[in-house]
Amino acid sequence: MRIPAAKILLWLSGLAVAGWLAAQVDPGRYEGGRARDEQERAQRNRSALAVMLGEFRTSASDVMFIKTERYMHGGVAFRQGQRTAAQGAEDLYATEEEEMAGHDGEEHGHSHGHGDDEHGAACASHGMPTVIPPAEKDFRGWVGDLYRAVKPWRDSSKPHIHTDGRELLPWFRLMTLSDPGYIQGYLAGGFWLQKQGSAMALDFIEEGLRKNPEAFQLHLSRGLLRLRQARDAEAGPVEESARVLFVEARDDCLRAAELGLSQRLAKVDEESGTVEDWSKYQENDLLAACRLAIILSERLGEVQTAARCRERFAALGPHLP
Amino acid sequence: MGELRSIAVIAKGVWLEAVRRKDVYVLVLLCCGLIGLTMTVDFFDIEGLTKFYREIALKLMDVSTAAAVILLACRQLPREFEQRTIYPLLARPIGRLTFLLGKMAGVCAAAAFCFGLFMAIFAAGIASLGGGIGWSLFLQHAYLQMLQMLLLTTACFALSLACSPDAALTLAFLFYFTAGLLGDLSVMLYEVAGTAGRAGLWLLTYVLPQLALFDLSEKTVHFEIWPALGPGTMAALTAYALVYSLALLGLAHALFRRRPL
Repeated sequence: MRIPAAKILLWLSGLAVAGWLAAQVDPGRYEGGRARDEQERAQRNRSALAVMLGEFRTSASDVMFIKTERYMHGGVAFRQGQRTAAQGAEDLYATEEEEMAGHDGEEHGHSHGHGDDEHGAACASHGMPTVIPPAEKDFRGWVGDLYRAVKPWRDSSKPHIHTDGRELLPWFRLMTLSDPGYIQGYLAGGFWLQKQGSAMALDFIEEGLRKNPEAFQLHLSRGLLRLRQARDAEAGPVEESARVLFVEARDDCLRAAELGLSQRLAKVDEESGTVEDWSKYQENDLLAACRLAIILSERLGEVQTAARCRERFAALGPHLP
Repeated sequence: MGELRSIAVIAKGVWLEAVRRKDVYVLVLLCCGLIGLTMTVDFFDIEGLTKFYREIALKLMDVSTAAAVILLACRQLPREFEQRTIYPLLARPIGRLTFLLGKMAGVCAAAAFCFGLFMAIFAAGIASLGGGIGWSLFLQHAYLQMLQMLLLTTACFALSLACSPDAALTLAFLFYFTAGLLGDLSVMLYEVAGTAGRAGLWLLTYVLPQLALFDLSEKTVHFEIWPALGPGTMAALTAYALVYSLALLGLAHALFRRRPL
């Protein structure tokens, strides 16, 4: 059988293009809409190819995050997508922080959106409408009835199904591989790894920090993980190791507070004094980082550091201890 | 009796062709490779994470079987015309409906063969991972997939008689991949649509067969939470598939009859 030269040339050029494309695929070259710094985002997104592939990657990560929500609820799909899940480290580790601070969420003026630590992010979706509506709101009649019978569906006014979060882990791994700038994936993945008692939780957060060194929420998340380890170590016989962990946790929280504060200041509109492009989750995380930096410094007996923090973070308002 | 025999002979021809051609095996091998890859990925050194495997494997199984059916069904009738093999066939005392039914049965048998191979791979994979299979939901899923393949086959026949083979193939794939979205999207769009839009969505819901109704994979993935479907639901889904398949087959038959030989 003779193969025409044109065909061979076409194949070879196809292979060359594929090779070139493969060399261009670098997840770190695109930051999508999640990048904090607009200048940096613009610089990174100069490559048209990186933008095209990057958009696909970030969309894939979003889809995977929604998938984790569905897994959490036994496959039931809720309307609000990502908004139903906790978006910040403080939301996820609320109990840890509250125990250290010695008061509950209501006192410092924000709600965590979930009832108990076990259910973590998922409880926020209680009462949220489902993608498949209930019979009285479904125009499809008997077709809608069939959908409700075939698909995982539950009336959202009834108590939710909650799984233990273990089976979500592969999705967090994939979403952060697909988009290393997906901070929310690292935060939630680290939380669920920690809930499984896996030593990989810290490694995962640190991987996120290597790829996103400026993400203050990840510094806070590492601080909270170390704080939990410190509290566990405190109950054990070696008190010194607990102190080392407390110091590390404080340093993480301090770093998170410093980073978060500088990022927040950069977003303050000078004329109106409002903070632009800054979510309530970021604000809550920043407050939590500042509070923990102060509380842990005091606990370590470093009164001067605590006073300096209080002074430095005073701009955040009356929620500091 | 003679009609049934004719249907069986034609179906056997299609089935043999499907088994002998390499398409199905290429799809199965590709699918096996992807499923194997899924099994080898290490997620944080945590063992026994089987839902992810179930999800990916079931999705691959469903999509691959549908792809095999679309490729096979869309080719059946145009090729008979192109190769002129339809003339000796119809010169015998075989009606066009019998011919279509035979082709349909053959494609469905090939789909069952393909899905059967996947089921064996899926079960072996789950067993090697040490996970469980909710057999009642899994078998119901397999049955519903076969109903979906029946619907797809008749839709492909109608499309391949209404337009060119390439267009039929494209439209069939488009129909398959967008059908899953249609259910959820129509509900969301209905809320913001005007009167005409709502009428259109209502019409679309009842005119187009809802392929997503035959996808029980989500419940199969979370089988420890959901019970098997009741007999009433299964009967309703069977009736739904049969009604739409008959309508599409009727359309294909009408187009076939109008087609000059």
